[in-house]
Amino acid sequence: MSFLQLSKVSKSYEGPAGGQSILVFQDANLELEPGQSAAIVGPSGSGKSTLLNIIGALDKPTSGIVQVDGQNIPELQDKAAAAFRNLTVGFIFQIHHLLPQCTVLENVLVPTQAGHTKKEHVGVINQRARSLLGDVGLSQRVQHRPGELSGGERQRVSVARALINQPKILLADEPTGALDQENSSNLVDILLKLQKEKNLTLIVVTHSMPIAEKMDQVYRLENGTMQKL
Amino acid sequence: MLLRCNIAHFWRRNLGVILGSALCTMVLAGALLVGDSVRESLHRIAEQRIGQVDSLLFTEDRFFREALATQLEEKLDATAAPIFILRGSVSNPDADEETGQIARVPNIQVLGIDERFFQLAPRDSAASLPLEDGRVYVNQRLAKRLAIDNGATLNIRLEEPALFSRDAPLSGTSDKVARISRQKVSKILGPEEFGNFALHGSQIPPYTIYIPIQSLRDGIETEGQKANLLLIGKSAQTEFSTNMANDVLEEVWALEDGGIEYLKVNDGRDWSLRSGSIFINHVLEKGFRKVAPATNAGVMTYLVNAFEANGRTAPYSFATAFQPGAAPELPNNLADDEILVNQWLAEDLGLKPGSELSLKYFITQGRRELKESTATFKVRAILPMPKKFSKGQESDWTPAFPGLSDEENCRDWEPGFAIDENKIREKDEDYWDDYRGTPKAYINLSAGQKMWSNRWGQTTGIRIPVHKIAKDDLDNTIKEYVTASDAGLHFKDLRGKALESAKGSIDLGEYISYFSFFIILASLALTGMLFVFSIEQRNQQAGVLLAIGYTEGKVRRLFLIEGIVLAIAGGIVGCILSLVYAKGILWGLTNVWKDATGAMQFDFTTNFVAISMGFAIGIFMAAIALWLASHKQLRKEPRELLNAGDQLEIRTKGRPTGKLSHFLSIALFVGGLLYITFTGGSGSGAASANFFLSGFLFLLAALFFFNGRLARIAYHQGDTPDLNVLGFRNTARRRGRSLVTIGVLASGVFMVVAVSSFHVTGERDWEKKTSGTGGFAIVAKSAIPIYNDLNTKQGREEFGLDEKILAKTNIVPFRVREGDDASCLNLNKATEPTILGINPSELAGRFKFAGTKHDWSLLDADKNVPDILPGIADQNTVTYALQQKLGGLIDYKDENGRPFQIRIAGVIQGSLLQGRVLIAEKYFIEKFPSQAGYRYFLADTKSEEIETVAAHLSNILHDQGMEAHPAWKRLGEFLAVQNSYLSIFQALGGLGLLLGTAGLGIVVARNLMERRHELGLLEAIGYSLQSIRKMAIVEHRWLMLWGLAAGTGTALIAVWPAILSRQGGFPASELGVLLLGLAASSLFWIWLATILSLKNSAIPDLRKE
Ligand SMILES: Nc1ncnc2c1ncn2[C@@H]1O[C@H](COP(=O)(O)OP(=O)(O)O)[C@@H](O)[C@H]1O
Ligand SMILES: [Mg+2]
Repeated sequence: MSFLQLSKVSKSYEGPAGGQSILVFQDANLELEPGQSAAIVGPSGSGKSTLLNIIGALDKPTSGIVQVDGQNIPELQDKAAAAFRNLTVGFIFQIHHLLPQCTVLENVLVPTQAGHTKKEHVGVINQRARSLLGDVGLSQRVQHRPGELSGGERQRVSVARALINQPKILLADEPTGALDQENSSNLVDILLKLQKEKNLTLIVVTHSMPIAEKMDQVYRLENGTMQKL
Repeated sequence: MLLRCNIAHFWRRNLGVILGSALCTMVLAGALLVGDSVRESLHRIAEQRIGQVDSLLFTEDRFFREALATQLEEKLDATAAPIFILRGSVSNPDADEETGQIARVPNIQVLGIDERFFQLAPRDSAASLPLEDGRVYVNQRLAKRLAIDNGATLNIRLEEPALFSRDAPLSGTSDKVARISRQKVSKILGPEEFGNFALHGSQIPPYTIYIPIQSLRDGIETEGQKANLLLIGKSAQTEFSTNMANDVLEEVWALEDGGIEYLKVNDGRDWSLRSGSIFINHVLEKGFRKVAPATNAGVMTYLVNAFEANGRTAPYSFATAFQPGAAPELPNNLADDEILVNQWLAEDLGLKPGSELSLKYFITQGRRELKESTATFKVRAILPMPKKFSKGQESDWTPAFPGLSDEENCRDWEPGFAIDENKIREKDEDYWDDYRGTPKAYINLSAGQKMWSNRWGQTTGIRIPVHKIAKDDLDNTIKEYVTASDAGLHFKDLRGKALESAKGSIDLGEYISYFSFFIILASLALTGMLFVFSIEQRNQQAGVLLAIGYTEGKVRRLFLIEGIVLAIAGGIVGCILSLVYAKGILWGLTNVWKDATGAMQFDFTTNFVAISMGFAIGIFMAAIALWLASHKQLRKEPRELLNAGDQLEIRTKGRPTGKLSHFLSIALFVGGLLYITFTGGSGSGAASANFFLSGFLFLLAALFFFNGRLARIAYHQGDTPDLNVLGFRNTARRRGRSLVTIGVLASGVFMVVAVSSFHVTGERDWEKKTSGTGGFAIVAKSAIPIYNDLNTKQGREEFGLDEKILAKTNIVPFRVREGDDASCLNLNKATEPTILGINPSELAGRFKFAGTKHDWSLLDADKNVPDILPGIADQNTVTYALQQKLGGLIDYKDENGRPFQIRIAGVIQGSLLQGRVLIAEKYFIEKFPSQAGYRYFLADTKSEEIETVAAHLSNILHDQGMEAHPAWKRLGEFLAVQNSYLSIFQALGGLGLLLGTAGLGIVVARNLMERRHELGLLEAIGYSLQSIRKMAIVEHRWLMLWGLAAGTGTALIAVWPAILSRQGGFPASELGVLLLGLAASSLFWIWLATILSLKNSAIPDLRKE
């Protein structure tokens, strides 16, 4: 069995007040091993984010199995799901959602304070955060506020933040959606580099075929079905 | 066009603006309405008190003919009602104490009336109340107090009034208490039926019993159709005035009305002009002498306890001092040390011309203490005896001394002191039978006046030859030189005074506006903040408008006008709410804070002017708040507005250090401190503008401090970003918002804390001489004056007071000139407050003066300007009831209607002497010589005996209507009033707090709503909803703590002077409890707002872009 395996995952939303339920997708299958990367493409509204959120325990499928490391994710209770998100998964969203009141370094540290990790020595996690910021090319900006960074830089901070708890899976939902071409490819390069280095399972949702083609596998989600290209 | 769309579309978002301006208008207009209603109600009460009376003539112990009323009525074309008004007490012999009936009410007003009284009642229909013999009416207050109904039977006790001052020597016995028994109550009079009739202004009517005037006169054994109070009103003349009444009075008064008498003496050769008060006062004497300027002769007859010569004694005789011309048989050139004696005395003592003769006589000092003095004369000649008197005849020389002249026997004499009957011999009785009060000796008038003149006068008769004035002319001739006013007859303008005092000393509306100050500020701050919220939500719209070429000014105007239109809508809502709000406060004043108002019922008046004023001011202030808020908001670049992240405020270029804020904070703080040091700040109480100004400065200082602090927090770094750190840092994200929250909370806390530290209690420290009780244990009041010194054995025996119970008791008596109650128990303005006359040395070291160098000896100071007397009064009385300051002058009229003034020479603090003005007894008796005896008392006693002694005094002196209470209790009643006011203000502060917490709640909700993405992310990366809530609570808990700290800190500084002078010391535990309560309730609201705004996971918000 694969490290990350989706079998026959379906999702539909309840229709408006007793109406017909709205099917987003049906019988989606996906298999990934550590160190593998995948892209999900498809028109907007096709359910890409929904699928990613199901993998990341932010959402539950209507039916089907989502297994990570042998664990069925939809069955996780709230607390376990939170711990899963915190420790096993790293999220990168289209909007960075950095906390404006915190410095870059502090923003990276935020996931360490969610209470799922063992109390690590401040020096240790600080060191790890600094080295991650170095990895994303921001070692000079650790004391800056998000407000003082460019869009690309902010998104790189969120990459560092996604990795601070040493997750096994990295989920990126249109991470370059708000970035220009140059910043986009820069970010994707960083993502892929770190994925290889840390042997992560990476799933990227994107509209850009050039970006998608940099991944090991590409899936297309359209009209409720997912196809491996 | 745009404006209309905007309002139509966004009004819901601007609900905050509507609410804020509604609140502001409500509070303002409400306060004004309360003020108006209180004034109107006092006006109504004043009208009920005086009915349709315009002027009154009140002669107290002097009586005039009832016929005067008829004469005035005709000449003035008005209604005039003659009344006998006396103080007394009433008892209910059938009282069933188990059903709550009370056996006795001391200190009531007894009105002897006829039907004319009711013609002047507030309501015309009351005019036909028939009052039969043996029936009485009582007013509602008395009925309620006694818990009686129609048909109850009451006994009345009164002092028999005396023309001749009971303080004077030879004034007869002092304890003449009359009883009118078994009077059946046939009606209970309501306010419209004149049930609230009173001479002095207060919202609380006196206890009153109404009895047919003739029954009253019979009860007190007064002869003739007399009265001592005349009311005039309902004049048909349009330009009726008190002066007109006085002019007519001048025409129609008779000598009899002024207590002026005359009779023929010296076998019809001379007139002797006399006074019903025995001694002729200075004004009358002057007038009498003018009747025959060159040929008048003064006479002074006095009781001599003993003539002594050659070891022999003749007891209890009269002697006369005369001026040349008083009688033909007397020589014109008597020297001051010479005396003429009659045959009888010469024989009795063996006197010959040239013999020495000494006279023993009493003079009175203060409290009816008699001092025997002796003077020695040389006999110049011996006079023959007159013919023996026939029955009913009296000596030409001797006026009718009460208790003497009408007695059959010497032994029955009651001259006002104990007669030693053993000294009276058979021949003395014979002399009394044969010659009555014929003087046994004569001296020169100046020699006599040296011994016997007193404050009531220095003659007992003025003689003028009959041939100068014919009998028919005598009345008119005397009236030429003696005016009605000289004779103590003058009308006072009752209506004018009543309406003036109804204007109210305490403008509750004004105070409520003061205390609403912070509420208004708070609601404005909230309005501004909510307006900013709505503008923020429309940043993009603003950006678009700017981008398509609208100028910034135009965009701002657009938003502003929109805001103002909504504010006006809110204002209209506020006006409607203000009616409810004002009604609520009035209800509170009657029911909750009743100590402050005597549970007075207020009429609610809807005053259009008040409402529109509240409306105008409310809208104006809201507009300013909106302007300030939008001003800042639109000073942004269009690009920024278009991008409109919620990050807008985190502009991070150029780190503010908060230095300027800290500087301003310190400057304002120092300013506030200087302000309270130089103005005395809040020392003068909660309701002072000083208090609010200094408080405002301190609060601003605190806000600047937090502004600086927040600016710094925004640049904190290097912490591990756990929930506490995140929450703490969040406070700095929206500095303006956080400051509004802190500020609004702080104002509420400021009010509540500051006011609660003004709360006072009377019980603590009452034993201290400098406390509000002056260290006195008991305070007592009597309805009927006490003439004797209750500290002497003799004085106590007189009433049967128990020497043992009173062994450790010392009583300080005060003379009382009844006037308006100027204490905080009276809502009316006191124009002529009650005067107390005291011996300043008896209060030495008592009470606490506002001026450090002041003490009671101030009262003894010479009048440096004639007719300006030094006076001392309580601070509250001076400030609120009199609206005066140290050095201010209060106008009075003396007993004869002549004006004088009392200058406030000293001010005492927080005392039970509230409501009165104190002057030295020596000046008191000069201005009010016939105001005899003492009616107010403060007493020292051992603290464990207070109740016993008070009960003893009340019981034994119950005929005198004595009411004695522990002093601290009485003080407590005054303090309860003060505390009641404070509670009103505290309630308003509480309203401010409510706003503060509402603001806090709104800010919590708003913050969390704005940050939902961010919270969603936190959740996505593994934070539980619970821990995110915790973070929100931490953040807002800081705001709350800072608000509490700012409010408490500034309040304590602002009231520090008051706390230092507070009797109970620093109220640490009360404040602690209060603050804990505040913290707990704020926390609750934070928690609730957090739970409600973060009910569900924020993860779905992550997808909303
Ligand atoms: N809470 C919801 N209720 C109903 N429909 C939803 C909900 N969330 C998402 N959808 C629908 O699910 C579909 C997939 O959405 P999404 O996964 O965001 O698409 P994508 O990321 O591919 O653009 C959309 O049609 C959207 O309308
Ligand atoms: Mg999507």
